[in-house]
Amino acid sequence: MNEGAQPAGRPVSITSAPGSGNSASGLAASTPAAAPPPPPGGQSRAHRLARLFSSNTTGLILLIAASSAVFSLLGTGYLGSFNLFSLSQQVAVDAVVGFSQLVMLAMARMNLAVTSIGAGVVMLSGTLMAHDGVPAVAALLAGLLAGAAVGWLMGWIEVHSRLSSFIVTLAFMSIYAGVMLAVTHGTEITTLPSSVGNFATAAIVVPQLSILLVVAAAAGVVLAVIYKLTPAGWKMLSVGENERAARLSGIQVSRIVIFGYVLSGVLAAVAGLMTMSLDASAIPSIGSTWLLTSFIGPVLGGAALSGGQVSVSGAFLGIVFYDSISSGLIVLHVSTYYLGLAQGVVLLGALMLDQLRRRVRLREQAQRSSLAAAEGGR
Amino acid sequence: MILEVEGLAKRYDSTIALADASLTLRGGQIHALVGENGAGKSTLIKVLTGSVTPDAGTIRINGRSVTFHNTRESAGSGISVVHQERNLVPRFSVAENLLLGRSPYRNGFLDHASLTATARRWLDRVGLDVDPKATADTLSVAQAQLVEIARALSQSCEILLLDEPTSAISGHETETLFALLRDLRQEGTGIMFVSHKLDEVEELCEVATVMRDGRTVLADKPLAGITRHELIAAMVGREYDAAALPERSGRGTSQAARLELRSVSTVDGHRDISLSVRAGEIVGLYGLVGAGRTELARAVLGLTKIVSGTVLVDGQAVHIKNPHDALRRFRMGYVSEDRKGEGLFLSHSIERNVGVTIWDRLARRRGWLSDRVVRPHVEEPVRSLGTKISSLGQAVSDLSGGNQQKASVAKWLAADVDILIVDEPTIGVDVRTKEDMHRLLWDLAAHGKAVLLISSDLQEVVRLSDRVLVMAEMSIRAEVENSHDYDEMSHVIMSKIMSVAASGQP
Amino acid sequence: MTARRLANQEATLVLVIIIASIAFWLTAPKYLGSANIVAVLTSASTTVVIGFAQLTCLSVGEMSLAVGGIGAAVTVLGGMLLDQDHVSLALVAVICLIGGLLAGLINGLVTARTHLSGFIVTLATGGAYSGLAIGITKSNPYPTVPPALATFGQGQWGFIPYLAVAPAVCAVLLFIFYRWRRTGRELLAVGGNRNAAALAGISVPKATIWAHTLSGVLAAVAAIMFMGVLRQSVPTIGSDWLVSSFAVPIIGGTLLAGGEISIGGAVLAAVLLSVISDGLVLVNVSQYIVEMVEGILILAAVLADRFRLVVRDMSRPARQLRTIGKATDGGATA
Repeated sequence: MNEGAQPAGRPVSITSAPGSGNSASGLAASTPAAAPPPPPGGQSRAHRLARLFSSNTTGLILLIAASSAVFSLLGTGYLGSFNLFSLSQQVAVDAVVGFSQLVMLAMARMNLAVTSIGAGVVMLSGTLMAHDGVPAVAALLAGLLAGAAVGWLMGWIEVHSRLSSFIVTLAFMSIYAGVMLAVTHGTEITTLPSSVGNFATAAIVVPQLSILLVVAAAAGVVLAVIYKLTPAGWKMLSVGENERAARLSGIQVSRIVIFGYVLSGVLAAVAGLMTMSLDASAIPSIGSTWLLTSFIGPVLGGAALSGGQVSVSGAFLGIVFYDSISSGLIVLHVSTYYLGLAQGVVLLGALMLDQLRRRVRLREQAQRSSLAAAEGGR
Repeated sequence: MILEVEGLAKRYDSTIALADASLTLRGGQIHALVGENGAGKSTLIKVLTGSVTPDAGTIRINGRSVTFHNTRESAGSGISVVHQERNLVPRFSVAENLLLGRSPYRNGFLDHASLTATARRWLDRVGLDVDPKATADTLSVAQAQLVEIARALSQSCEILLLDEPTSAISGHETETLFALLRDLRQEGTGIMFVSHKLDEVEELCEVATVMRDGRTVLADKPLAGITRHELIAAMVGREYDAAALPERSGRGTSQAARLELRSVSTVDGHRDISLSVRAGEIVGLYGLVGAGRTELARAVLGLTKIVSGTVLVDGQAVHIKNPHDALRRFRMGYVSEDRKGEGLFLSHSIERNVGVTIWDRLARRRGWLSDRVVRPHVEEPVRSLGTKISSLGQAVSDLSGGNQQKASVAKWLAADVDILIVDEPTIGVDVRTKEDMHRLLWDLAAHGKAVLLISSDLQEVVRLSDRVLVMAEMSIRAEVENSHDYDEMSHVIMSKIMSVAASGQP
Repeated sequence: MTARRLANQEATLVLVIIIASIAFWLTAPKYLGSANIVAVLTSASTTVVIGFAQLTCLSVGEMSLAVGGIGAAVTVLGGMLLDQDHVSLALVAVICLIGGLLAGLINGLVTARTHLSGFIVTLATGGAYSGLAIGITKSNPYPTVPPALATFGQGQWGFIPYLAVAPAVCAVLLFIFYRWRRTGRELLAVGGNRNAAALAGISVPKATIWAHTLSGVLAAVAAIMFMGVLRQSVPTIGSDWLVSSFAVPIIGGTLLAGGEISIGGAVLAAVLLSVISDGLVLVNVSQYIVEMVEGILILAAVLADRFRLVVRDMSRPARQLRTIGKATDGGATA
């Protein structure tokens, strides 16, 4: 029996002459011969090309361009100002919802309560403005503070109870919703100051871009700065990659985790307030569809669900792609009622693609490290 | 029944687990498989039980060549294994665990009566007196292990593989186990006993196979014709003591202790631990797996609770709350034995892995962080370890095992700690990395660092330490001044550990 | 240990149910009126089946966010079929169950084949299923159901609604399945210790697929029950099942980590949730507070369990098999 023949497709093929009983010496000697390092120039160019196509950012930009081309050819008005403007509004809100989840994914956690934090903050802020006569800016600030507070509470409980983020945020998803509904009795507030509603209808630079994009971009820039330039962001990623190693390396894991929860809470609050401006009213059912939305952007953008890896720009492009599909379907007169279906299918498709890409990358990596091992062995 | 293994080889991404493993195991024989950590014993067992497919080599049973694709096929051929870690379903009954995957069903319904009866028979067979209906999470480690042996026997096994069966059980429980194994031998079962406790091997086995770096270096040698010294020489090899380390001045005898423990007891069960490490000194903490050394390090770092006693740093009684505290306030670092699980951020770059301990400091100085800011501070530690990398931005998962280990140590060099606790630094690394690591620890001590070296590699401990603490059963049994004479030291240290086993203390 | 833990949990639940009932009865005497008891049991009946749909996934250490989505899709499937006069109710029910089975099967197959977490897979498929339901119906309910189904949903014998038959049958079948059937035992073995199960030759992918498939069937049962209760097929049904589906098994003592389930506990938990929500409405506390109570009960249940484990660990010798108690490995454990 020759076991060496079995693992076909392995980077280094190892064969043993049956009965020689000394395949190992053959292994060390045959390794370089079996897999000679390819000429440097050729490999690196092919490599760079492969990496370009396997990168999320490029892939997403290509996808967005392709889908836009298709939609503008098939339907009318896809590239019209009206459609692009409402698309930009939608992208802005969904991007911030995604950012709220991205912060948690970075730490290998999740926040199911984004939905009810958004609604709770909106109703709080709306009530303050409309019924208590608090100035709009102060009411918005109070909303952001509330988002931070509820995020902190969940983080504190997770850290001290050592329960999973799933169960903690699941429980709080219904606790926050319950409190909000009990206080507001589920009635919407339509008498907001006109400035709130007017804000979302404003455009910047060109009439196709909503000013909400500025808010989303600001949130994105803040996040990007956190993950690129600050110890807190680097530590969040470390915690997400390997929590035990992070703790043993002297990172104060509890503190970082709570900070992440607060950040996620604030971002959910921002998304809620943006929606409030878009609707020009405070509606208690805001956020009811956010759960799926919140995962789509980060996951399409290449965040690992297992933590430690996120891309802010990827998440943004991911949501642009997703929303452009939705908007395209509307232009093509596909019923808006089918958007939920599209959402699920897009996420599933992205997940499977990502899985495929990961497998390719793993194989590449195995190839590289077996070469390294072979060098090290000599 | 005869099991013959010839020329097995297996490599994973970055490591060669098996290069050339061969041995012959006969019925009615207890065959020792010995070797240091990472010698390939566990991989060999995985191959024999079908959970790993070898890249090359043959397995023959009674002269017939066989291939195993899964554990079922292996068990079907009469090979059973009891793994080092326990494999029980915690909330299932003992009986159902014993017959897991093979429970009796009558008309499609689990036959509880027959299940219990069958299980009781096998429990009696191994002399374990527990209620078959009790759930597995009420068992002690030793009991759980006996349940797994009973499980193996119940699969009508003729070859029984035991992977480090005594690593987590007490002396008394070991005696019970050995009596059972001798009975089984009488009945013609072939037993492979994997261990690195040579006393047990000499007591129990008649034949030994020694593995090193994935190869069989001594095959099927009758223990009657070999001394322990020869056995150890085969295990550790020759190239090991090739280069002498330079003389280290200032062994630190005069200085006060950097880190000191006074009668420390912990919730994990450590009792009355006292030790001290001075600046410029390497103190070896030697003991077998399960002696409680890693747990002691974790207690010092504040990860588990110290219930009594004092920890002193530079003569001051201190309370270390967590590893962050240890690093910031006391400049203390810990290199975990489990580098993938606790030491590294595998998919992150080398500079992120090494720089993690200094981010705060650099950010405070600069106001922000970037790889460019961190790079100059991680370059030196990485280079001083002789780490082979293509760039600092390379992902750690791309590195070989030895270079990964260097990366996990380098972060403490970057942080320039004064006290370094190193847990099994050369486990599963190649000879050259081992040498690099030894020179590094030596240099650290020469530069005035206090190093506590936790190791179950006796040769390593004797080579590097100034003093050796012998740990067993959660307490320190002896402190020995190191003469650097391996033969003498190994006898002294082993006799200390043996005296523990012989006295049969719990 | 196990039996005692669950017995504890169940005894606690019974106690809480009794205390809550007495409190509500003292505040609002009509609480113990037959109409109200039927209302409580009706709502408990649907809730418990939703919980069962999650419980089967939890038993192997998986979770499903698609329970509501499958419920919606099955409801629409049923509504479409019932719209055609010539299809008999029994046939519709069977087709609905098969539909749920297939939807669950897809979840299981995708999860087992791609090695993605069940969480994200079912988040996506659940969104797709409910999106499909909304898309086909444009959110409009099918307004009528056959009288037999309406009777099933709203009729009663004395205090007991007909509807309670469904959870009772499901509970008995699940109990038998997990207690005595080979597949059921295998599911629990995989949930309790994946590695040990695999070493014993039990197929982990097969168990995963089974768990999701069963979950789909049970979600379909819940959907049919709601068609009877509401006397129409509402495509948005299921949108608020997510929290209850987890609340019922978890409050009942089922471990999120897998390997330990309590059918009786789930039933009691559903009763408790219904008692509290119904009672709060009766005593004129806002009905919206109910949702909050659900969340608090989940937290209380898991925290109490965590506390019990801590106490247990402190009271047993350090050398015992702590490592195989999977539940102690919380996310933030060092």
